[in-house]
Amino acid sequence: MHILAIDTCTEVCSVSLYSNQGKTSRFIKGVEKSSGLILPLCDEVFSEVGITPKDLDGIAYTKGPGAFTGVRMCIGVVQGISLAHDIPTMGFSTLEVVGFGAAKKFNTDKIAVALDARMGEVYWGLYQDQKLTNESLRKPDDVNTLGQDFIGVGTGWGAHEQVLSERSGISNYKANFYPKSENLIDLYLIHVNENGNFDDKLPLPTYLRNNVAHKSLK
Amino acid sequence: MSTKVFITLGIESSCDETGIGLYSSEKGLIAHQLFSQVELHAEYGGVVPELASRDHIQRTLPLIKAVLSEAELQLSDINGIAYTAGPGLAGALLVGSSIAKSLAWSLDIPSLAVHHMEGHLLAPLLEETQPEFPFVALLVSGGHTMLVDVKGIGKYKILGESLDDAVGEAFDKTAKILGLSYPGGPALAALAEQGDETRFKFPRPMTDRPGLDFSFSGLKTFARNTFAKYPNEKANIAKAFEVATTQTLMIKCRRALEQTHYSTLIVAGGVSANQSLRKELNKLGKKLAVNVFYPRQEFCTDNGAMIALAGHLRLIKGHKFITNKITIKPRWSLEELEAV
Ligand SMILES: Nc1ncnc2c1ncn2[C@@H]1O[C@H](COP(=O)(O)OP(=O)(O)O)[C@@H](O)[C@H]1O
Repeated sequence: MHILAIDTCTEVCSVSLYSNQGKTSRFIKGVEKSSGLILPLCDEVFSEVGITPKDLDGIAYTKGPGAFTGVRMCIGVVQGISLAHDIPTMGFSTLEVVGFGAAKKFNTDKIAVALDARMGEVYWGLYQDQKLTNESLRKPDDVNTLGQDFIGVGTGWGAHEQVLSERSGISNYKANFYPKSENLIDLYLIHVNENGNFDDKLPLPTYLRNNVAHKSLK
Repeated sequence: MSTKVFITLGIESSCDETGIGLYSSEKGLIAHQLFSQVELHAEYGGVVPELASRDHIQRTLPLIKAVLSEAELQLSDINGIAYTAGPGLAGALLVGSSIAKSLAWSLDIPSLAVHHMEGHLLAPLLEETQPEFPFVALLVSGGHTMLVDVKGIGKYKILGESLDDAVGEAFDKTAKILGLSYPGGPALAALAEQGDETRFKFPRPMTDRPGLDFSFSGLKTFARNTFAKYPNEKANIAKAFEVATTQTLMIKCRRALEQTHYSTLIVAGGVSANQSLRKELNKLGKKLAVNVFYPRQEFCTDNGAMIALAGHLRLIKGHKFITNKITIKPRWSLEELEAV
C-alpha cells in the first residue's frame, strides 16, 4: 500500500510517503515553507521510494484550520494530485493531527490544542480518547476549563501563554508543536482499518474563521 | 513541427471568474467553461479577495471535469497545462497555480505560467479570421488600460498605460456614483444608450498633449460633480462619460497606429465588449485603412479559453516551467515575457 500525506496549513510544510519501506518524510519550516516547495518535496520522497503518483492508493491531508493561503495550497495540491489518477483522499483537521501527535508523544489521552489564529484568537480543540472535540475559533479567555491532567500543545500556547493557562488550568504546555504528515499516515491507516475505504471526493478547506468580508452599506 | 496532436488545458483564476479551456493543435478551441462570481461579490460592491479565493477552490476541479466531459476527453489526453500566474489577486492566483502545478506533476506533463494580459491580448486569435503580426493592441479591462506594440508572441512593448484608474474601473466607479448595480460597466453602457450626447461634454483626459498614457480618475470626479448638480440626468451623464472615454481611447489608438505605421489594431479585455467603443474604433479603422479585431463577446472578459490558447502557443514551442515550485506573480509586466 502507498499513501501520500501532505500538510501545508500552518507555518510548517511536510510530506510523508508510506510504503513497504515505512514512512519517507520531509519537513520544512518558516520562509522556505511559504515558497511553494511542496511539490519538490514530493519529488524527493517519490524518487527515494522509487514509485510515481500513479502508484498511490490514497492521499491523507490536513484540511485546516490554519493560514488561509496555506490551507488552500494544501487543498489545491491534493485536488490536483488526486484528480490525475482518481486517487481517494481523506482530510483531517489540523487540530486533530496535532492532537494525535501530542497524545502519542506524551503518552496521554488529554490534549488541548491551540493554534495561533492571529487577530487575538486561537483555533481550539480537545483531543481525548482518540477523538477531536470542541473544534472552534475562540478568544483565549473563552476556552474550556480543564485542569492539570491536560497537556497543551500548539502555537497558540506561545502567543497567548498566560491567558490560556489561566483559563484552562493547564500548566504543562508546549508551544512549538506542529502538525506532522507522518501522523496523517497513521490517522489514515487507523481510519481505513476501522471504517473501510473512504474518499471525500472533492477535498475542501475548513477555515473556522468565516467573518472575512464586510458588506457595503449601499 | 511534429504532427502529433497537442492538447492544452488552461486554468484562469486571477480575479472573480474561474475559467477552464481546452485548446488542441488540431482542432483549435475544443471546450471551455466559466463560473463567474459576480453575484457573490455584488452585495459587497466589489471583489472581496478572500471570498474570491474561497470560491475558486470549490469551483476549479468540478469545472475541469465538466470541460473534459464536454470535450469527451480524459486527463490522459492532455499534453500540457497552462495557468494564470499573474497579474491578479495573490490568493486567487494561488488556487489555480496549486491545482495546475500538482495536476501536471501528477500526470507527468509540462505546466506553464501564463500572463493574464497576454491571454487577453491573444484572445482575438481564438476567432476564425485572425489578425496578423505586427499589430497595436488596446487592452482595456477592470485592472488594466494599455496600448501595446505587438511584433509577435511575447514581443511586447508597452506604448502607454493608465496612470491611475483602469478604464473598466472608471466605468464601475462612475456607475456606482450613479447608483447602478455592481458590476457597473455594462449597466452604465446600457443606460448611456438612452442619453443625449449633446447635453454634457466631459473632458478627454491627456489628449491635448503628446504621449500614449491614460488617466481616467478625473472623469469619475467630473461625473460625480455633474451628478450632484443634475441628479435627474443619469442617462445623459452616463452618455457623456461613455463618449469621453471611448473618444479618448480612440484618439490614443490613432496616435499609436500612426506612430507604429501598423495596419492592424486588436482590442481586448472586458471593456472591449462595449458597443460604442467598437463603433468608434471601427470608424477609425475605416479612416486609416486599419483592420480592427475583437474577441467574441464572451472572450472579452476573463475566461479559460484565452489562457489555454496563450499557454498552448508557448507549450508547443517547448516553453515550460522548469521548477515544480508553486509560484505566482501578482505583479508582472508584459514586457518581461520571453519571445516565442
Ligand atoms: N459593455 C461594457 N462597457 C463598459 N465596460 C464594460 C462592459 N462590459 C464589461 N465591462 C467592464 O470590463 C471589466 C471586466 O473586464 P475583465 O477583462 O474581466 O477585467 P479584469 O480581469 O481586469 O477584472 C469591468 O470593469 C466591467 O465593468
